Amino acid sequence: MEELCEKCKKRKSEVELVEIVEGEKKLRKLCKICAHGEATGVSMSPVLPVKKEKEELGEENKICPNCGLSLFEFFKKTKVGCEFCYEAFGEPIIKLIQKIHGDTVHKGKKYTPKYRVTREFKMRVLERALKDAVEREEFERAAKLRDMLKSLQEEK
Amino acid sequence: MIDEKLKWMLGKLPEWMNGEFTNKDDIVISSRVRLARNIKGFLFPSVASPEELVRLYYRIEDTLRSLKAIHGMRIYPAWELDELGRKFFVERHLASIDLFKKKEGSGVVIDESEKVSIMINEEDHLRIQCIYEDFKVEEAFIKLMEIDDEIGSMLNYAYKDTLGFITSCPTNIGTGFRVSALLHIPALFVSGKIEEILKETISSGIMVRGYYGEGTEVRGNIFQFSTSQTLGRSEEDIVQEFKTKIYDIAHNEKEARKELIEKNHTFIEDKVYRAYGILKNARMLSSLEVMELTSHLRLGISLGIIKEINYSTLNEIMLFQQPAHLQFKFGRTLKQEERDYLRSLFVRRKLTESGI
Ligand SMILES: [Zn+2]
Ligand SMILES: [Zn+2]
Repeated sequence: MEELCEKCKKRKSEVELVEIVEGEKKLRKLCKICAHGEATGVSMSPVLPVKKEKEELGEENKICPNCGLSLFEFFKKTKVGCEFCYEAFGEPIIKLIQKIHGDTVHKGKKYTPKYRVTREFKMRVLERALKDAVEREEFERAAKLRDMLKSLQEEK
Repeated sequence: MIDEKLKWMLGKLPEWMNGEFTNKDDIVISSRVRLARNIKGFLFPSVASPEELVRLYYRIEDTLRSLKAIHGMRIYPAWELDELGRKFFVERHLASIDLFKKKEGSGVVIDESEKVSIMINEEDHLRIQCIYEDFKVEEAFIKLMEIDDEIGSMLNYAYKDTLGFITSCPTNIGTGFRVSALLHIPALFVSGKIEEILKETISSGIMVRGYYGEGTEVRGNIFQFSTSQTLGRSEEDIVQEFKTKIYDIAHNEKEARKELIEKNHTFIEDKVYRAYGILKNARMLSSLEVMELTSHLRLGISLGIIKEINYSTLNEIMLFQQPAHLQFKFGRTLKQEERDYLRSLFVRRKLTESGI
């Protein structure tokens, strides 16, 4: 008999997904559709690369002096315990970050408690939106965007 | 048994579900942006003790109360909600299933329109999200940035120059920023083109998920597409790249719809009317079934096959047919069979009301 998908119990199961929950491997048999639906969450999740990383690394453990979490515990949970963990774990976690994002340097918002998004920034974003809206004949939205831009201009 | 604090949401739709689509093709249903933030000097939720989390919870709650960017704020500590109440939030896309796994010291803050929701002590100390209807990513993005500025001026965020905003999981580090959209893409599905498109999309760094987000299944041909890179790119660039990719998928869906209607008109018409027939006459309907069938009706509306129903009626059916909503609507906990019967009753009523 054909095996049915665990999730929808309707379609034939064709995909086997390995999911790691709290360090335990779970094999799930899903149809292609359900597999796509969640999967991609699974395959993109950091869990798998972390596991591999551990093998490559050898067994040297490290402990965060602030929260007490160890590097090995981190590998299991894929969650750090505090803001100092990244420094405490050093290279292994930076390598992992490189693997996930293809980069290790932040290029977004530069935070200070006084930071405020500038008017120029907002206008740039909205102007781009307006261009797309007009191109796609979304006139109602375009009108609202124009209003937003106008009130930003008047803020000056 | 019905939580009084949630009653105000019962008679209405979240703003992003309410109203007609302005983008005409009804492909992008909604757009969501979110930020992950943590507070300097506090342990992250996965290692903090319940007492610490509770202490931090109240500190955050106090701060959020004075936010000017949120109108008609409502605050819901997770421990004050029962099982049904928690599901209600998940079904409305206002909170994640994970938020309610540990109740101690976590909660959710929303605004009147339900466009803004802030989860406290989920995976990170703060998860701030804005959901807007259609593909209004930029509107949502700017709102989110304003809220973030305001919170960041009152609570000191964990931030470092090289790594950016420090998050529990390395997948969110940097900007802590993600954009996602719910897309209704039935024609790609029916025509079998979906697999190729999904493959391409995933390899370009966009994640595909189900109706309720991570780890959930796809329902009613509605897929959630979401960005994954948070480090090494600015928020603005992330938005822009995401838009390009989603426009591509929407374009493909449009083409597939055109092809379907030209080559398989009767087939599609049949699918739409069958869906209508079942929804209008069945006496037992499961939640999944309603999602699948309303998807066909939605396609029927966008192809001009059915004109009597509008999108907000469909959205209302989609929202209130969900288990927790249905039980809230009928005012009591319902057993499975009873639920399926009352669901069919509700759907029939809604369709009759819309005069079809
Ligand atoms: Zn399945
Ligand atoms: Zn630590």
